[in-house]
Amino acid sequence: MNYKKIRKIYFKELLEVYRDKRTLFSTILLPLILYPVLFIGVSSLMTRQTQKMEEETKVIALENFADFLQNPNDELNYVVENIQQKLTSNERIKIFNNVQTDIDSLLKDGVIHTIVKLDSVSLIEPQTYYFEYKFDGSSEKSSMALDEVKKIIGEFEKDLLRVRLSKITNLAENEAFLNPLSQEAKMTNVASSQQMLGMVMGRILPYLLIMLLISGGAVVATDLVAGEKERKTLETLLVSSVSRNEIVWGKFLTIVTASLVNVFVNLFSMYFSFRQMVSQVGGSMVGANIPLSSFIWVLLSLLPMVLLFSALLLTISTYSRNMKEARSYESPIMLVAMMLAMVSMFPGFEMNKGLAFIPIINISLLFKEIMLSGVNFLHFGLTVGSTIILNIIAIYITIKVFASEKVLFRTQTETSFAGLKKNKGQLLTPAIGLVFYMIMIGLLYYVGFAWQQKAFVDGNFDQEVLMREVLRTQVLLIGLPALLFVNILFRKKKGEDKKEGRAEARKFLRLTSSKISNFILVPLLAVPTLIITSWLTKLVNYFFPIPEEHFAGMMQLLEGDQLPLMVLVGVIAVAPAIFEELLFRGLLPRFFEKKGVWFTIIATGLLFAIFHLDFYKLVPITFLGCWLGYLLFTSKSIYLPMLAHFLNNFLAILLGQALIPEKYLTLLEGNSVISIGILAASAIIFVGFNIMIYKNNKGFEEIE
Amino acid sequence: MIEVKNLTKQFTQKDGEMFTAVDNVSFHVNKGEIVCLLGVNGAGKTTTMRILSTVFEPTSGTAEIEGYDIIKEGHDVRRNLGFLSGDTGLYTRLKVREFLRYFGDLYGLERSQTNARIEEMANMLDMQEFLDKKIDFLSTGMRQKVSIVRSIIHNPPVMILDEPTSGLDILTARNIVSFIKRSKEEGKSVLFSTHIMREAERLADRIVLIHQGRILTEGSLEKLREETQLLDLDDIFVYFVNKMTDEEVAENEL
Ligand SMILES: Nc1ncnc2c1ncn2[C@@H]1O[C@H](COP(=O)(O)OP(=O)(O)O)[C@@H](O)[C@H]1O
Ligand SMILES: [Mg+2]
Repeated sequence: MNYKKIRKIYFKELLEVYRDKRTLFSTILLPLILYPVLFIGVSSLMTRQTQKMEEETKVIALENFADFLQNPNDELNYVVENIQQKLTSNERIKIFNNVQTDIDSLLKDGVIHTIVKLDSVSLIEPQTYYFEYKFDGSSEKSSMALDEVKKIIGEFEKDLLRVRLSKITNLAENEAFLNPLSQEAKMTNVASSQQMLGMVMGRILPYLLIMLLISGGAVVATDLVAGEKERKTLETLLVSSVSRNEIVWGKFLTIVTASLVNVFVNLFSMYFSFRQMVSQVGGSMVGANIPLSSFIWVLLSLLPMVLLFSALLLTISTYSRNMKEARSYESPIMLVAMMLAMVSMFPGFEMNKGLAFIPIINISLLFKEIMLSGVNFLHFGLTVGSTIILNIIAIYITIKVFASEKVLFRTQTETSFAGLKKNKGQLLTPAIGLVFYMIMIGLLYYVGFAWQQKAFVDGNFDQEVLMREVLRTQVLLIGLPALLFVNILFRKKKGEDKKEGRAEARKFLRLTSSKISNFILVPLLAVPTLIITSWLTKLVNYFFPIPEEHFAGMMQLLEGDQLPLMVLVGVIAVAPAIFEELLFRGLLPRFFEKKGVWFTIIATGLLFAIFHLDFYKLVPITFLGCWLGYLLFTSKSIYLPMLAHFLNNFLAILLGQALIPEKYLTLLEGNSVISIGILAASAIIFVGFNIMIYKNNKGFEEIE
Repeated sequence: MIEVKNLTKQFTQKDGEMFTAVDNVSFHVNKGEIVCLLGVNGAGKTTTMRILSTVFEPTSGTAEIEGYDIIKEGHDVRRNLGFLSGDTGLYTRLKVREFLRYFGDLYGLERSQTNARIEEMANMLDMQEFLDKKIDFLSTGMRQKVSIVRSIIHNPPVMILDEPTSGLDILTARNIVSFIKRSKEEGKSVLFSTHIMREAERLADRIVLIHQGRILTEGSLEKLREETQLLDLDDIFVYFVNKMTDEEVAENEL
């Protein structure tokens, strides 16, 4: 690689980017104008508006008060008169006097803002007065009126109390007696103004920064490859004496620079507008400075993410045939990034060791943490480290993608309907596989979960109903769609050999026999596998502590003694072993296997885990799914993963039903020497036996 | 020197079937020789040339440019090659001089070398008055001249020009034709493609007839005339196309 050439490309791209008037306007000029207008304009408008509303007179209607006037009861008279008088004398309140009209509908129309109704009075000592407040929750003015009325009546309540007390004690005149908790409590805000500002900045800034980064980078990235394709200049560059890697690096650095420029310009403009706004409302920025070191840490942690996004955007741009396509691919990514970045705005979401591994969320929370309490080096290291690893992967992919003729010069491959009819094998692409999978997840989530919800009524659950619905889900939502899809692939027309079609379908699903020895080895692996997955669960738990309720919910399926064991085994072990396997080891691998066996194993393993829609089980189930895929491709038969799946679930039932003696389980608990020894032994058995299975079957199936 | 050996290129079509755009093509271009790749639209000329420029990889076969293999020594190939096609557009936001200097830089030339080369070429192709204009504002003819200068800014020994005169007015086209002749006199190997028979007649030392990805025949115009007893290149071309279809029919009947 030639750094001089990379530099030449970089500077030329920058020249082009910032010579374009539109880019210049949207990335530099617009932010410089936008924030002052937005911040200062809106804030002054808002303060004025609120002030105006507070000062406006509110109309209050008193309902039923007249009925209680001139009452022989002294206290009642005192109460009614005083409240009326106190409300009337308030200059911001106007009492609505025309009692004849339908005041309820006037309230709805906004003529009256709040109605105070004296509903009833209990004259039995101690006398009690029942009030009803009617207001319009959709009107800000009505809410303000309500607050004001409640405040006035609340103050009067004290007066009334004083009157009542004075009848029994002369202490009633003593202020301290009436206000034992001292109304004039001193308010001391322990948050320093730095923390206050950090709180605000910490919530909004991460989100803003991430959005700015992506949007700033996206404009440029789209232009850099997809734009060059559209303008037919890419080939000019490719035939000159630069290598594709040099082009990738030059363009990559351009996107990084543009993203950073965007962030800096925006922050700069935002900072000054913010300062202006603060001084306008009479505040001062003195003491509200965030230490410079915080900013430096933020920028340091920002850098790996800028690189990550830049690589991602460049890959998208390279993959897209034109700018329009690039933009349409960018938008879902922006959306996901936006949602993840938003966590910094949720109160109560704090950084921890586990979240430090989740891209975007980690940066977002790290910023917040740095702004609020300074840098935590463990979190900083984990976040930056994991982002850098992702980064290297992303850059590697970008370079690969750019070097691939198939991607760089991708032509329209929309499969035509006529073509599909001719060659149904075309349906078996990863893209179609993913679409099919997403439909399946949708079915499970919207239909299956709704079915299973029937088992939960008022916090109790009916195990029989649950089992019935789980079985229904397994058969109708998992097994049936998979079989229908296979049926479409192998359906024969009239006159053709139906038998042959069925034989082809069976072969497709790998419903084929396999060596007996396989079926002896796999049961021996069941317990070691369960031990390994339980350790993986422990590992996940270390980073993301599993909430107690969640764990209980998980076990609910396996516990309970309302049904005979055989029913549980049938629904939880046998049915998934058949139907989930038909989908995840029968059909789905066929979509991916042209990309290689290992790719297919990992892809379907991951999809299998995601299908369980349980974040905490993602890692152990991925492990399990990959193993089942491994068994499929070694034995070249679906029956082996079916058996393994059955055994795994069966063991889980035994555990849930407490059918395994306690003394064995205690051996596995904690980090004792014994439990770790058992793990090590399990791992050795697992690896050893799996290699045996591999050898025994002469390696993976060869994919045509 | 260009040496093309059994080059084949297949594309996957919309319906998933393979389509052979270049079918086992072999030919060569000597030093100081102009060879014309002649064929109708869709014959596979551009695809062949794109493979030679290292933009595409061949499905099978290979080629050498100045003795460098297009698959293994792409960088050396590009260093020795001036390539121009309808797909090598210009950066319209740059000025002509900026654009040419950029490519001079990419080819690793010194600035002084690039400047001298720009002067020389600008005089030859009559480009002085628009050297400092933004490419956006140039006409098609002007742009084509810029493209040509771009492709040979590094003075390569081999030039591959895909339909270099298409869409140009007569004067500019003539300008470019005489430039190609001059390059030959400088001892360069020139491969150019066209679907205009007259241009092939006027320029080429040898003509390679290509149809549906396959080479029909090759040779100097005299040789082709002798072989077919036809005078007009149009007729010669049709003669060979018919011959190929006849052979195909015969093959299918076998
Ligand atoms: N990237 C590509 N993907 C698929 N087909 C292509 C691609 N490039 C060219 N072709 C096809 O290859 C054939 C030859 O095209 P081309 O080499 O451009 O012909 P010519 O330059 O002789 O007019 C055409 O049928 C064209 O549709
Ligand atoms: Mg062409």
